Amino acid sequence: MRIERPSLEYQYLFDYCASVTQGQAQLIAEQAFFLNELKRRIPETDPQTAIWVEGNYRQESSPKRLIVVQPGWLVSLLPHRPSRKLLPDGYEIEKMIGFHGWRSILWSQLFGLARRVGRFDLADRCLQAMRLSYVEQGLAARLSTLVVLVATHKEQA
Amino acid sequence: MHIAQIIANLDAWFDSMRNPMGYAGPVVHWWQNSLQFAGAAHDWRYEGIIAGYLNLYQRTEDPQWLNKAKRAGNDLLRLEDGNFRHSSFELNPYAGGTPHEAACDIGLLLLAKTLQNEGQIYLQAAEQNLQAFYIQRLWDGSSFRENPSIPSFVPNKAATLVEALFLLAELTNDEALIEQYVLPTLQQILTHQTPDGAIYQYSANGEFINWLMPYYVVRAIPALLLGYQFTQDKTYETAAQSAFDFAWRYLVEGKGLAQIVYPKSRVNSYPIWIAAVGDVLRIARLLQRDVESLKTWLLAGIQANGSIRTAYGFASAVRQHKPTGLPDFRDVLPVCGWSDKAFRYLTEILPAGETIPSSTAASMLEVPCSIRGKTALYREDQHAMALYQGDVLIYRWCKGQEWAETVSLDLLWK
Repeated sequence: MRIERPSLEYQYLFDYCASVTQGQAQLIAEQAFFLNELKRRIPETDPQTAIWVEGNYRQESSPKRLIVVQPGWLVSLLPHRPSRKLLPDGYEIEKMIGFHGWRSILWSQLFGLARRVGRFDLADRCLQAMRLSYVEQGLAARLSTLVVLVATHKEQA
Repeated sequence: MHIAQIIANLDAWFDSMRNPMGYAGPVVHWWQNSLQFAGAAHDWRYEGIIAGYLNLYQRTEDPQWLNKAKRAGNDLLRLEDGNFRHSSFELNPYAGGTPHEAACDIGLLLLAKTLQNEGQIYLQAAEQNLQAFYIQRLWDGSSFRENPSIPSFVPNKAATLVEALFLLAELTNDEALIEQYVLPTLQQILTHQTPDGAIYQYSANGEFINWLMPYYVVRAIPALLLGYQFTQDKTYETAAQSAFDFAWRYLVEGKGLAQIVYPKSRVNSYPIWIAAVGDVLRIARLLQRDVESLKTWLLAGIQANGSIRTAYGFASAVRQHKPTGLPDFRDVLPVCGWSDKAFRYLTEILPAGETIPSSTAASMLEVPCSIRGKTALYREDQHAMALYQGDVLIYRWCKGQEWAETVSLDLLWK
């Protein structure tokens, strides 16, 4: 078997989590895909920091810092989204970052179009532009395909 | 600066990039960057680093260089399921990187060849990777696939593998390897060559993909020359010469080679490699070509701390305008997996009998540059690589760490 890598938005996401935690965090994820990719980058645990990816969070402890990964805007309106639990649980969101938002999606569509008309040179330039515009903040972050929230517990801050 | 001094300073920079697992550091590339993960990576950097230290040992007879080659070889002995650790260069942290694992094998096999009987451990590691990964997982009966699930072939990557297999066959006296794997692979490379000497970057499901990348076309040449040496079939030699002719036609601004050539001679020129030009210079020597201007281009990329700039024109990757103003951060960021190509070349042209002086490299490098069009300052010392905008730190990787500790949103950039 070839060693498979996740798609670009997930590579961004997992690398961001590893960088922010410097490779040390509790991992809270139900799907093996998330858990394996995070473990690859974050081999050590840290009770002060947790990364929570999709699924049900069992509130057994309140880490000082919580990094929450969830899909983008429309899904985040649903009541069971992880971010909906943050404020009642005493967390303050310090940062929200979106990966693969409307700008990079637009560039990736233009990439496909350029390839279809045989302009591989322009397609590659669209791809470079897509990479340049991959990360979003603010409202555009909410509109992205993946969102990561960094939250700090108010009482432990 | 004298060539021996350049080598001494580059060696000092390589030493600063080491941690207990090997040579580390962020990576920038045309396809993707790895700015957050910057841990030790067992990828094609080991090809040039090991070959370079062996060159130094052969030219100076100073055992310290052999020890450095062995130290690098020892880094690679930590195979996991037959793969090297973090071998995917710009795509790290993943194993199974191509041509990176074959390039590591070349380093190990050159070391084994130098050490003869004492080098068995390096020979065994390379053989384990070549058998368990390339032959068992990627060989489909007629060629080495890039993606095992579909017919797919990348000539320059296969060419690196051919170099490794030639070395393995030599060291194990196993000519069957050449008949069974190498010659069919060389034939596949030839089928990817166009009448003007270019070599398609890859094919999938039998269809050639319209990317012609001069640097990677050149990387395929040593394998073709080995094919010629082995078979005495002139076809390989002619293919090698015409491949170089193609690449040389795309010299940009009299500096380096264009990044990608497309049908109808459309070109995306930027970024133009600097440190990687070492490979082009080395391979030009194999063909006895005079490419002196490229040497000037490479030497102009040397930085005060002994490192070598990666490229020119990264900021022009989208618009493809001639670069103006400050260099992009990615241009000045030195990368082990590009600098090794310069190191290998420079150590090859060092005259025998020379001694390598002490390093005179500056302990601190500061280079004004830009990031997304905004002015920045790249600062590197023995402990860290950092980028500032004014007084604000926007990127910092501590050299012993796997992950960059500060990465602003502008630098969250794969």
